[in-house]
Amino acid sequence: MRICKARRRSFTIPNDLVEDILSRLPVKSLMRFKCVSKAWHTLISSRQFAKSHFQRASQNPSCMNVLVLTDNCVLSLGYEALFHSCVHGQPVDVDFKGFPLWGEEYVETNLASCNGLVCIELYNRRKCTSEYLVWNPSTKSYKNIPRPTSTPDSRSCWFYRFGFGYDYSTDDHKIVRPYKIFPFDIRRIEIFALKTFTWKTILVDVDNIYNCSLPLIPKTTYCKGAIYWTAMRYGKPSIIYFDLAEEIFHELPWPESVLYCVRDGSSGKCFYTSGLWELGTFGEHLCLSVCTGESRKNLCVQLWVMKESWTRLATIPYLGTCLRPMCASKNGEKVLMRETQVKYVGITGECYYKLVEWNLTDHTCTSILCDPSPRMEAATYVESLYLQ
Amino acid sequence: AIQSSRFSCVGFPLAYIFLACKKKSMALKLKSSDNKIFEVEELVAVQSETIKSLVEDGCANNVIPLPNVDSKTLELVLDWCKNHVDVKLDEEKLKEYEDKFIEVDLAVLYDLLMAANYLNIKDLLNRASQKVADMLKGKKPEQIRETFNIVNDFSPEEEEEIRKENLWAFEE
Repeated sequence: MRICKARRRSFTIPNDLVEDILSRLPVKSLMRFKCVSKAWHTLISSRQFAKSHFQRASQNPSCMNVLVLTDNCVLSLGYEALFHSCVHGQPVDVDFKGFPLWGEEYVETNLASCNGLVCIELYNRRKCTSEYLVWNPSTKSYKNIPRPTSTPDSRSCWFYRFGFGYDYSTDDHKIVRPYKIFPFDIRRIEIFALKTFTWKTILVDVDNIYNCSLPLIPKTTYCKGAIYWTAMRYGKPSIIYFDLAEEIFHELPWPESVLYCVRDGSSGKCFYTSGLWELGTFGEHLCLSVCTGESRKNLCVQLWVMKESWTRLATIPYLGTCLRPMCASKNGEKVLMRETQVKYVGITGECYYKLVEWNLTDHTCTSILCDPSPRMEAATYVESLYLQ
Repeated sequence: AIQSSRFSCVGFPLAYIFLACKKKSMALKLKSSDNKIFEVEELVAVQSETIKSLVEDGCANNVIPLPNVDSKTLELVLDWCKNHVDVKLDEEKLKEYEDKFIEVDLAVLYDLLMAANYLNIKDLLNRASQKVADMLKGKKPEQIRETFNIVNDFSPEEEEEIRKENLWAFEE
């Protein structure tokens, strides 16, 4: 038991402490430390470590980012800087082989994100086909997803918005794609699991909750193991969600007090605000943003958060736009939203998008990064090691 | 932070009554690796889960030997514990104290980390681990190996290969 104190001490740290300390480091440092030794390489590359690293990072605001895709570049914004005065995006390198983000006129780029990974969809409006890529902006790794082989001819089916989420039961990321086959009302859902790297198809019963109409414009939202769609059921707005572990659809009713039919003061006609609502997230909770009011002249946007039940978060002025809540500042005072404004030229409307930051306390709104643009997608991501 | 303050709100009156009843008889004697004896109130010492279980098992009547902690480190650790018993310190002051406390060189930090691990003092271990992580963040792999005495078991070719995969991580 003789310990010689050398002049220069060496610090030997037990393995469990090494793991704990490394799980606190940014992804960039970890990618560099992979070449320290074989043991460190194995640890940093392991799935278990990615999981514990993610758990810690998701609690740390400095590990959160917003990815913004504009009509010519992709920018990444740090979450902490985002809610402070000066906002500059860092350009991100997005040279994906065989997967051009910009190019063809009829190709629409859509983003969905979950647990550090971003899923990009290139949707060809002419051919009605989609291609997918899953990307980790923190490690810069990506995977091109193969096309599903079982999908019927795209001319005979109708695709709904895809979703991307994390299945706790299998510790895996999944792409979910519901569709309907014409002329028979057959509904199916295709699921891609990143671990097995294969697609599978689930048939859905006629009396399933999924048998409702899913509006095409609003995007899906991932929250706590499920993917949420805005829906219409029996003429009423509703929310349906697909539990990734159970692989079952469920319905989540709207908050009871929210009116979706606003009476016009003079004519008494019903003005449906059901097209003016979107789902998103506020912190770790599902958040509903909905335009409502007593009368048509007196509209407002209410934000509701799903905790154990629906809780009203805020009421903000209605400025003729639809808002998708994306993330909240640390103290919950500010919320970042993607704003959709429909501009009409004659009878055809075109959507314009921009990012806005609403201060829920003093009801002020600040535009972020860019002017309204017909092409602007945004997604949040946490620094993670899930795809290396 | 909310949890810890809630804990101290509840913990304080109970602990106070406990101390008032037992008074001085509940002082514990701790012996460092270099044989120095530290007399501390039980309430301070039991922040260490290791000591707490000794006390609960009735093994703390005599001097408790701590062969893995030297006197210099033990003094620091006990100072940390004292400051985390005193609930009169508000959250801001406590943060100020912690920030100052952890501002030490790597050798002292290493001792604190190992002591916190051995004595099982959660908040100190957390704080020390975070500080080590902050110190490592900007380092090069060579510096990491040197600091932690890690042998590079990659062949030069293997290492080069791994570096190439993540060249961007080596840029400033």
